[in-house]
Amino acid sequence: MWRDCQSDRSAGDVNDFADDRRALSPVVGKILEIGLVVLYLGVVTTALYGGVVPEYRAATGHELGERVLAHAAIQVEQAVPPTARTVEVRVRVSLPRTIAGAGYRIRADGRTLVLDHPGVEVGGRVRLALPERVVRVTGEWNSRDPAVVRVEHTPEGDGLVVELVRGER
Amino acid sequence: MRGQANLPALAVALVVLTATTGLALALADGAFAGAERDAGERHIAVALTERLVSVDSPLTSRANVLRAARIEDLSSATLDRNFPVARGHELRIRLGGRTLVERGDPVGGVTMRRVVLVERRQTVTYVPPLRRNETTIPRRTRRATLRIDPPPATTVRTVRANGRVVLHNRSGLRGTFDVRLSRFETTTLTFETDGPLTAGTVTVTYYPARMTKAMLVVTVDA
Repeated sequence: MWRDCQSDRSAGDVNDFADDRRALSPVVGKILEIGLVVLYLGVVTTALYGGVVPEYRAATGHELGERVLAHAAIQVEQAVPPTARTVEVRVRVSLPRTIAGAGYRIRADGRTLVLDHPGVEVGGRVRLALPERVVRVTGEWNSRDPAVVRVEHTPEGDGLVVELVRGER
Repeated sequence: MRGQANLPALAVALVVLTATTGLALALADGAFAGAERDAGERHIAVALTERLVSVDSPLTSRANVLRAARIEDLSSATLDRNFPVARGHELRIRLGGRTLVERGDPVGGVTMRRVVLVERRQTVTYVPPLRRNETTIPRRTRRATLRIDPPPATTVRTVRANGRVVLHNRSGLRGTFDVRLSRFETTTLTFETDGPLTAGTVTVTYYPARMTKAMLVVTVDA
């Protein structure tokens, strides 16, 4: 009886397998799931990298640029000593190497400091508060090099010159 | 769609993930807003405060000592002329609870506080009794004005301040003289004469400084 039953089942199963499609169900299910997840990841990644992340990078770069410029300006102002007979000052200013992933330059323009950056969002200029005896401010810093403020007398001796120079590494 | 019981679970998982991402972005936004500092305003506030009390500021007699008389003249226009860094910004400068300059309406912004000394110069005149031909100026002063009007029989040749000669004339001193003194020590004036000086022949005017502490508060808004 056992044998009969078995043989019956096996004979019947062989026939049933031909048109039984239930085994496809998990495969279709997995493919649907993978498709959904891939689609979801695509949408989320596009949304993040297309809008949110660049916006945040720009905001951070803008803020950092402002701070770097203000910090540099305060350092330059504090490098100028009170009235003295001979002045020879070298002050090292620590600046970040990059803002928003790119190098930048800080240059003197009259009595202002200007931040030059390849990004559109980053940049600006700030007026320096310097005493009258500072005759001119010159030079520029590249963010890849150490930045040094040098304050010296003019050759004529009638005032001070503030120079942004490249320091020793 | 038989046997696709996993799909609703996946959909729920994705919804939860989306909600988490949205929450994370909201938190990040909050963090960004919280990290927002106005570095530019801060720089101007710091620089303006430092320049106001520096040695070469027109308001000070020495570093961190403001002269009361000069402070009274401070206005928006003189501020811009002497401190170009403040140009075009809304600001308020207060000294000891009194507003010196206010431009625009600086709400918020960056505020720098600094303790300073305020120097008020007084003018005090006294007539010394001139016992032993000398007088001690009661308070320290940077300079003094002497009016010397000796009796006809007396010639004042030299005036010394703490032993240092400040005035000398061989043929006699008569009239009004300004002498520079040290503000670091009490001064005793000695008159060298060839006759007696009586009270009332010399008048001393001195200019002692009254120092008071005050809080200088500089608020700068964009």
